[in-house]
Amino acid sequence: MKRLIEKYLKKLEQQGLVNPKETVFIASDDRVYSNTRLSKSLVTIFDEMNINSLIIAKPVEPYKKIIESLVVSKDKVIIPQDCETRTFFHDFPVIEKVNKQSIIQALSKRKSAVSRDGRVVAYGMVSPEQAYINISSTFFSLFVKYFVDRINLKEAIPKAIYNLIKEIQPLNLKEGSIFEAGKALVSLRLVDSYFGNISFINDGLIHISQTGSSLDELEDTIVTVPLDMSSTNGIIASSEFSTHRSVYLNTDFRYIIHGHPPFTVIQSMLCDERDCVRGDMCYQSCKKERYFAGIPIVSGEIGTGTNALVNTVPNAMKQSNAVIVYGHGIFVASKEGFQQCLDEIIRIENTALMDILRTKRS
Amino acid sequence: MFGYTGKNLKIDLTTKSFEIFDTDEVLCKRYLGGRGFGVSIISDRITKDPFSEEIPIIFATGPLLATPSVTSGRMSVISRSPLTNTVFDSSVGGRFGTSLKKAGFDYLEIVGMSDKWVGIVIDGGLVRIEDGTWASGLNTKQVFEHFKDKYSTAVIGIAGENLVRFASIVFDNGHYHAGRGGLGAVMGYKRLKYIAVRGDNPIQIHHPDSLKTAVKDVMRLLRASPAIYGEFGLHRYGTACLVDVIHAKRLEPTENFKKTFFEHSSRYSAYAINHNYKSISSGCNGCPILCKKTGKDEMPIPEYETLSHFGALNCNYSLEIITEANRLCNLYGLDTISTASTIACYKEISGQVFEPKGILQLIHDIAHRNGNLGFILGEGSLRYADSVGMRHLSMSVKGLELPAYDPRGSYGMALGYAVSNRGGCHLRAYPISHEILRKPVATDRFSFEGKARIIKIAEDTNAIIDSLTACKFIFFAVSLEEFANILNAVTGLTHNVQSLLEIGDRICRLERVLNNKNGFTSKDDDLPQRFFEEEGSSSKNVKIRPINRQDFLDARGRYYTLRGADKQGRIIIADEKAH
Ligand code: SF4
Ligand SMILES: [Zn+2]
Repeated sequence: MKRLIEKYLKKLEQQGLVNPKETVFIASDDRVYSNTRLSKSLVTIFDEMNINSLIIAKPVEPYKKIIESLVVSKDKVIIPQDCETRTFFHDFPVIEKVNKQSIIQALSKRKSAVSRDGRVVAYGMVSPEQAYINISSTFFSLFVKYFVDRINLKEAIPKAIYNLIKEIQPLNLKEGSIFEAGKALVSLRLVDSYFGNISFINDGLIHISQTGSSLDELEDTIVTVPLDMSSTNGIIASSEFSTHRSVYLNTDFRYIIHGHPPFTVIQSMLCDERDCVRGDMCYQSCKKERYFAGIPIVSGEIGTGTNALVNTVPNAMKQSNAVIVYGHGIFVASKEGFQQCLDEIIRIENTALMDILRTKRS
Repeated sequence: MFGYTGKNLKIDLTTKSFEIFDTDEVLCKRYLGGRGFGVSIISDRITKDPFSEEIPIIFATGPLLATPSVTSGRMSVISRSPLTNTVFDSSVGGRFGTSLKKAGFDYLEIVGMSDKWVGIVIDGGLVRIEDGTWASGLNTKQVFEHFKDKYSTAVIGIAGENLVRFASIVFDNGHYHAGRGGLGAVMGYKRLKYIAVRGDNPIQIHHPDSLKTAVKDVMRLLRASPAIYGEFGLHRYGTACLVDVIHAKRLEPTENFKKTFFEHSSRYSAYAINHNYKSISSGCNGCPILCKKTGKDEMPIPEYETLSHFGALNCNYSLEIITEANRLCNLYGLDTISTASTIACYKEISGQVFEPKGILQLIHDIAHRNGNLGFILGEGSLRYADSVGMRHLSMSVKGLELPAYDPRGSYGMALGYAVSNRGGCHLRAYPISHEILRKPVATDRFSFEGKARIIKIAEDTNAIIDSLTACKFIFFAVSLEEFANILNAVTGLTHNVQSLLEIGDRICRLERVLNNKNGFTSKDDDLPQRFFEEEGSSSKNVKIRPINRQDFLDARGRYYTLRGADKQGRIIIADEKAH
């Protein structure tokens, strides 16, 4: 347990999300393990909650300022707007104080919560990894929400935050392997370690990351699925497998990366359309042709179903090597290799970032 | 009472009488419904012989049944198992539960024993115990055809009539079973051949709009789930979708668990099935997943466990033989897992080599208890193996034959099988979900680290699912968080994940207490020694080692601590009153 705590705490630090010294990570089997000395009430929290792990995370910049500013209002709940977090989290309750009672109350209903002092609490039912995933997704979602809200309200981005955002530097892959590409995506923060997916096709076989795999640890988690579907072991493939397959069937691309670069996601959610009747259902089915930096933006829910991105992304990819999915992320494909995918995703993210910072700062 | 009918039916087959009485609100609060109801109701009679007049058999619905909730067509059958002697519940789909609830009953309890074969017909509020001698000796399909679609039916076949210890109860058109543990034999002992039920009372819902929202949240998660709606998922292929992945991971029980890899399993994989049969999807009432597949003439296509056990476990790769074996088990009312495993056990012990067709003959002999062999195999693999001094070759826990996941390739499963209150069952904690299918997150399948707590919480969760009553498959994609909202919308209660898990813990503890009363201790929470001594079928990349005995015992010890049990697996502080 200790080993897992250390592993995921380190990941949170490397992703630039939390300060490990001020973050509490607790996990339990028959007894409680933690990275720090625990108060008595926190030790006993596992007697009252049937959970496996709990994180009380202290964000570092820019998340610190962003989250603090999101909890200034008296709202009791924050509703994420990006599609993926919305699907899995529904909403984040805001708790007034971080104590045993408020944690139990909030986390009995939701997977994570935000406190008025800017900390984020989340739990895992099955493993410490799950608590880690819930924390990092919550951070992502709050980050996106902050910028989208500001821009929609025509409020300028404070300089203090503006100064913390940096452009992404290009990176050369040595071998161009799927493992290397996965690691690069995570280290450049183009995706949270756990989300996103990646694949290539060779000789009628699609090699794709497994569902719920960490893109920076792909060594044992690539599954090979025949394009002709003659084996169902693809049941453990990424949830976007069908989209990857459909792109391979309909285009000449041989490599695909799907990431969640935050500023690209933010851009996808900025829409000036005034008379649109979709309300807050844009992510499901947007009828308008939209582009950012020449890249098509499509709607689409995760997985299958008539409104799913499996029905929108492959189509758009017939004309473009990249497609942005509303409130979710980006698919980038190439005929040559992962390097080209990576270059393109960085280019688009940097354009998105500069566009927001250049025009919308105070 | 929102979500409940408020009434129950108790039938005594000895006196041919029945009574209708109110549902106990405390029972609803403490045990929810379904499995929870059943284990609570049976608790004061649990030491009675499964083959006795006193032992009840209970058909229990839950608060979500017959509502617009998702996968709300399930219910539970509960009694004491003649195969394991433990308290035993079996979750079953189809439309029987819906009909029973719409007929006006939260549960149906049957006690006593008739002097001749009878059937029970429930038509709305009208209850009739009728002569069933006409149906005795008939197979399950013949009885369904008698009732056609007018009623939903629960029927036993010849195996149940002959008290085969793993006889099932077959529901509706033969797709749905209270399969495991021999509950069909409990009905057989009571000389109850069938129950037919129909009704159309609506169920009151507290907050229909909140229910709609909660269901929408669930649907979105279902669509995002590869295991459910993905291209290879349950919706498309049914449970047969597991054949290839279990094969690739080398935890495919082969030759009575001597090996863990069968090179021919692609012959009966989902892809092969799709090529051989034009299958159509169907499912339980109120289910959008529709995991059941049927071929021509409504022939049920075998589920994963049946495919693998009549396949790899018996070294047979003929899809035709598997399908026929499945059909016979449905007609005779036999649990396919126990049947296939008992035959594989017999093959290993006797050293007999027979043609795949021999499997079919044995199924026939078991159901009819033909000759000495048919008789002794009808007692289940443990009693059979014991009778020839080879107890260790019965691949079972507490006498319940193990399903199609080798524990050497899934350590959570190893612990889950061992401590399961109803014996060798994969569904109590279903660690395959995280160890193989990577949901909700992947865990290391070759490690016991953290598994005690995972198994404990998963058991509690599944006890809730079986009590709500919902389907376990949906939990590949959603969690209790979403179902708490559904339950609250239906009933007006204010449950959350933790309050539900408390009820789950109560149910699991009570089951263990009831088993303790019947003498079950840690010696029964164990696996066949083969798994600690023999290596599975390793490959270049994956080693399937024997399980380290000490690691297993340590994990089991941690589980006992979490469950509130002593080192012998006995619950230390039991709830004084069951309800
Ligand atoms: S998933 Fe299958 S077993 Fe579960 S409720 Fe739906 S049809 Fe029934
Ligand atoms: Zn994504």
